[in-house]
Amino acid sequence: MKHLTEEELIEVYYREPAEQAARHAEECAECARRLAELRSMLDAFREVAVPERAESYGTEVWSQLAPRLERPRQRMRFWLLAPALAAMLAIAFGAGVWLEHDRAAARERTRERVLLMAMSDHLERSEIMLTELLHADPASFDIAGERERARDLLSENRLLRQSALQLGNRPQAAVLDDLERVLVSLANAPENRSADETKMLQERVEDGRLLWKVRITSTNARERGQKL
Amino acid sequence: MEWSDQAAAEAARNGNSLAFRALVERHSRGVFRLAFRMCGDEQDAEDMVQETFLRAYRQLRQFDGRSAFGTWLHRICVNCCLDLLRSKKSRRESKPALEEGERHWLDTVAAPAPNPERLAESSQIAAMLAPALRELSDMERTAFVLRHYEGCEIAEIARTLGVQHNAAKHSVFRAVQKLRRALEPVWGAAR
Ligand SMILES: [Zn+2]
Repeated sequence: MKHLTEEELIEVYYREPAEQAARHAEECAECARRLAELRSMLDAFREVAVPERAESYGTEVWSQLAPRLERPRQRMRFWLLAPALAAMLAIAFGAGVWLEHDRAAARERTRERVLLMAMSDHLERSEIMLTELLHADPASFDIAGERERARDLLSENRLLRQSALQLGNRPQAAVLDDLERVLVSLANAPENRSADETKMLQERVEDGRLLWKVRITSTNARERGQKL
Repeated sequence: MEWSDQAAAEAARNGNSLAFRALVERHSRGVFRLAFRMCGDEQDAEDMVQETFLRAYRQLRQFDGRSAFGTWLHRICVNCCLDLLRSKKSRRESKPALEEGERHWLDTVAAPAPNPERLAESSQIAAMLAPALRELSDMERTAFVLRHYEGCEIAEIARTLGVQHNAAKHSVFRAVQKLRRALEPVWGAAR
């Protein structure tokens, strides 16, 4: 008789559907012992307590939070952003050549900050869209509703990817490139897109860990932008 | 007035701050627990509670009620904590040692159990568990916290992390495996 692997034991501990393994653990003394050992350790982890918070904690949180809430802010519209990005591209070619050095550096910093904030903002919105895509039931996914949003994001994405390339930020450009492929599929999706196609797209996003990469790139951009 | 989460979220989205307040008051303790498990530090966890509700407020329009409000909120919390852990990690790389007196993962343990033997055992476990948890990757730690402490299904963890079902499952597995390897030598002696 083959004994349970460690992975199977963990499955049984977490009561994941593993009937055969669970039955084996009941019938085999050796595996029952190993399971009990695992259980005693993992159960003990659960007893390590979290510092208690009083009933009134929520009220305390609110009193600190309330002054920080603004009304949901209006997103910076893309057409406001586009000139800054276009200038950014121009400056990336000509920086230092025709501007006096200090002023050029200051301007470049400002432009870079604008770019990083725009990047973070763009990725944050893309992240929301990808999250929704991953959560969607392929059978009832409303592709028409997403198409317009995807088109908006797509035009931004192209410009940002170009900027990232100009500035020599290859990792950033690579993530934007991956993202662009998904946005293209969404933006051009036909009305009668099948559930299978949606499912394939979801799998592509998951396989490439795109959401994860987008999230990390967005945080990096925001942090760097705040430091400038 | 008692709002359901769903109704409160809907009202908050339309600018009703009382409704958002009700949600904050209802969910703060749960978010704190999750943040503490993720960050292992009381002050960081407090900050992440604030950050979570701020982000939630800004993203309210994206909450479509397809999942429970609590689930949606916890997902935001996990992301806030991951951002924090990552930025700490990058700062630590330029500053190798942990700061003196920096309170970390369960170094401070509040034990609700009245039995002193139990208390001693629980702090001992905490002391052993703390460094082991720090060695996990962000993804492993998130998967483990969600599975072990929050009781999330693998499918939910996969969605939160934005990875395939198998990758999420494997992260839980690797986390448990690493924790066991790290604790086994001391575990026997402590029992
Ligand atoms: Zn066996």
